[in-house]
Amino acid sequence: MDTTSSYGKMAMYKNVNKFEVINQQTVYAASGEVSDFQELTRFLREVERRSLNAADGYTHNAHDYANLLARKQYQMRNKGDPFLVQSVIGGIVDGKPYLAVIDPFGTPLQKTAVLTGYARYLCPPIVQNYWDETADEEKARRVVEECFKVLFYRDAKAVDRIQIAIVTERGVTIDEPIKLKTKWDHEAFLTRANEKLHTQ
Amino acid sequence: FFFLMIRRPPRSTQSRSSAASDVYKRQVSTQSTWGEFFLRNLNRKGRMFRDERRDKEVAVEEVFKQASLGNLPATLAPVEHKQFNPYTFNAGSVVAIAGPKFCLVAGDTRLSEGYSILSRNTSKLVPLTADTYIATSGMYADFIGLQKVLKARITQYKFNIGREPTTESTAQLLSHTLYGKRFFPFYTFNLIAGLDENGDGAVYGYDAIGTINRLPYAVQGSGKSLILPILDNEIQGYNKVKHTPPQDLNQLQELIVDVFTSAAERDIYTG
Repeated sequence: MDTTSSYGKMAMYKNVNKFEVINQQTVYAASGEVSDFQELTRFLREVERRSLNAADGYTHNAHDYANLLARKQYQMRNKGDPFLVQSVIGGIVDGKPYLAVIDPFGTPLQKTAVLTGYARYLCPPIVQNYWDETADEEKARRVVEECFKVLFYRDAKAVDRIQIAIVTERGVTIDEPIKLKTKWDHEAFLTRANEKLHTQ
Repeated sequence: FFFLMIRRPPRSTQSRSSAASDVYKRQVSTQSTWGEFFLRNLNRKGRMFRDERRDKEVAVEEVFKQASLGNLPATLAPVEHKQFNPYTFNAGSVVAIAGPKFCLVAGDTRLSEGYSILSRNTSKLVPLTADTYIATSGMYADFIGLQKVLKARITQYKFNIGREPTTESTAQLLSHTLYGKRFFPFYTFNLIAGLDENGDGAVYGYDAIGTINRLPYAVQGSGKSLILPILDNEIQGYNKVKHTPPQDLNQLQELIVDVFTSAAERDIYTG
């Protein structure tokens, strides 16, 4: 996840935490309208709070929250006032990693790799070629960083600061933001910048 | 004036070429204003027609005025900002074939959004009862919504009646569930495939608002126009001088694999 909150092409806030921990086995993130993400976070947190208050031994897992979000986003779509977010829920369900994405229409999709925004167009080849479900955490991190590097190179609105969250059976860890190492002093870039104008 | 307000349901195919014939038939093209039309009416406190006398008169006057100018209701006021279109097309194609003592139902597993692929392995077939499947093409979010409504009703039926509903009953349930949302339809193009009370295959085809037809075989979705003619030829024997219908399940399965492969060659939504 990047750490920017933009207004169109204006990168207004560049140090925003866009992961929300719902419970120790569930993390919620969203791509799109930040205020809608905040509203949905409030909603999920409320559901979790009520579940805790009931104290009946039953807790909601990531799959439950993904379904809940799908229903909520579908309901708002039916009213013609959608949550303009691609919601992503990541967590551990029955000991296995769980990942789901819900679009503004309320379409729930459980997937092993989720790409939103420009990543949908630029990153599938990277994920397909360098990652599969047997990869370890280190490999996954490298692939994610590579994806964001490519996005920073090619998406004019991107910022080179990202944050990674990991959910394991032991709980949720949200890392400190990292700055991507990208190279802008390629010979080709420099040469082009010094290129003489073509004159007839 | 109710007649003027009612629109034809959306087609399952995305072709733009029939826009011209839409004009000829004095219909607004069903491409961009379909969702907007419903939304504009939803925004009137969620009901199509108001009870208050004044509002009803306004609606009638506007409708007649626009109709006399040759505009149908959907083009009433120019929309100043782009409104959210609640509909999208995700799903590819589904096929169902009924036979003696069996019913075959198949669907591709691709979900798309515009020119992107959302998923390569999502099923479009869902069992509703022990001997009935629903297969659907169209909008996936609406399909999930529809499924939940149907499953809830079937659970109620099982509780009240003490057994599962027959395929015929389920088919009828789907029809009136779809029509219940006549003025904000489920954007789903469904097939019911199951075994009837004699144990023979039963296939029912639907449009988005619940028109029900029992058929020997049916296709829905974006690949419909590519697949249906092949089935007409191979199963019914249309346009064949000498026809031997498929003999058994294996032949039919091969046929289905072939038609989907063919459709996938030319239809981007079928995978």
